[in-house]
Amino acid sequence: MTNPTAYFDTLLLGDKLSTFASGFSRSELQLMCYAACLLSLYDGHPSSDWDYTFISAPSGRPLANDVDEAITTAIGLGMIEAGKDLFTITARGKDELKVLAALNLNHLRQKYLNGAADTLLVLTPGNIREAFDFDINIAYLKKQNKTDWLLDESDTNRLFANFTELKKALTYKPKDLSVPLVSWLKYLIQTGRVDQNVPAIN
Amino acid sequence: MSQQSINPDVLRKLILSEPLAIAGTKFGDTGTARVKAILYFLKRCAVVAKVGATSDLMIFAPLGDASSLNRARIKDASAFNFSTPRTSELGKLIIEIREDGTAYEWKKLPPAAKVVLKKSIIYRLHSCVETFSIAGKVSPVPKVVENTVSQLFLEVFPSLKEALTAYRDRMARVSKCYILRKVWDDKKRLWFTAKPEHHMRQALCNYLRTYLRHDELELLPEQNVDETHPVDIKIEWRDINRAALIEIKWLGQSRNPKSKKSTTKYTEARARSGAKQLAEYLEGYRQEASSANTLGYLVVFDGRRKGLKPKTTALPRAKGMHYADLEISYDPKYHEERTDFAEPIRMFLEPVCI
Repeated sequence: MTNPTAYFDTLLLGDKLSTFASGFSRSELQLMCYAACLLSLYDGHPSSDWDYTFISAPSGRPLANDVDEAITTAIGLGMIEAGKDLFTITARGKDELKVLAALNLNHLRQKYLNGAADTLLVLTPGNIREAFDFDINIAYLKKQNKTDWLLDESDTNRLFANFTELKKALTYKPKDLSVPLVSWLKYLIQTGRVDQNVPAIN
Repeated sequence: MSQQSINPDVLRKLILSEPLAIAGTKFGDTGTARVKAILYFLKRCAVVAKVGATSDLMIFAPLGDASSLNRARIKDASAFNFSTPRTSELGKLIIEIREDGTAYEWKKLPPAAKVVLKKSIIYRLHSCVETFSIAGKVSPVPKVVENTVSQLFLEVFPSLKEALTAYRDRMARVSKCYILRKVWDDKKRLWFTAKPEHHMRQALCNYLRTYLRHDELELLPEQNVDETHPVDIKIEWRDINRAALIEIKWLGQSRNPKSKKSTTKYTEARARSGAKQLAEYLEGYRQEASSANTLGYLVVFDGRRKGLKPKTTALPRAKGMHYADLEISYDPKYHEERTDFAEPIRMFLEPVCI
């Protein structure tokens, strides 16, 4: 059975990606779901609160089987359609999203999903992928060609510590969570590029 | 796996230059929301319009009362039309983002705007420089992507052919790309440095990483299809079971950076041998590896110069640009014979001529 939370996340992020980026691929949607989950961690919630889990795909990038299944379900129901190169949400999908967004159980996670999607106002999908490729855990798993659970206890503790530093660096507490996420992704790009000896952000 | 410790100075510096965070620090969540309203406009605008070197954009989002503009707005402004694509690059454009997020395009601003602008967040694109003015302080938009007119008007491509064509026309032609500049041994771009292919691969990879949409795209230089046939770049789109193999060749003359002695000279025969190689790769790939729908691309970086001699340090335009429009004739024409062989893309790299 399709995970209802993953299904909601798929529609909400699918809608945003259709608007901001003319559509999405499965891996892009997966990456945005993972980014939203990071914002939930940033907000102090344990990763177990996210309702579904992520593993690292062979490429090293985050993959949630529940999201993959939700995309397939949404396509089957006509909520998402495949274009020549990318998926987009349909009018029916938008209507379904409105109904699901009004449910209490989906209320809290919308700020994380919206925060993640709004990073596309500043960064391209390629930039976001590049940033996560520089995350130390994802980079390690990719290098080892290993499939493993992401956001396990040690990884979560590391991220909690990093996000504490991020909160300190932000001089105010933004309600809009795209602010810390954009800063975090740019930090990963900046430090990752310096390590690779390519021009960083200036 | 080691812990990823944070460099707080780097993080703080990034936050201090991030318009979303600057506006939040100065004006709280309202400030962030107004910057986002501008960003949202730019994102929507980028669907119907492009910017260039001569674009002059001013987008302002008032933070306080803008009712002093109401009368002039009726006469001199109209709601921005997002439904009609603009055929030419944007020139001068003045946009007001109202409190409800609607965008109004002004023909000219009335004198009353002076006061409103003082209490607005203002985005500007002028002479390829993007800035945000927040609480009177002007800050440049941090550049994540190099060599672009705008960070916020970026055009990303769903198809590889479109991305390669854009790279050829916008980056390679005048060696605008910072990595591609490393292929040259002289400022006039007459001589390649010895073994320039590494930089060419790297330059194209970097561009595609940022500008190409894909599912699980892996750009892996020097991939091996099998032990004897290297491919320069391999890309996969798993959603649609598609893959691309890119073979890169260069034409022109290279020289040793120290001795200045010519090291290699490649003529168009090199492009033809590259086509044969690629056809062989594709056949091997088809038979051995993949059920994916694979398409091969031959990319030829063409730096040939007419009359280039060992002591040449400059060339007149007629000689430097001699090969600019001379397409390579391929025999056999694999791109016509094979369904998995795309039409070769030649990227002529212009010299600096007298």
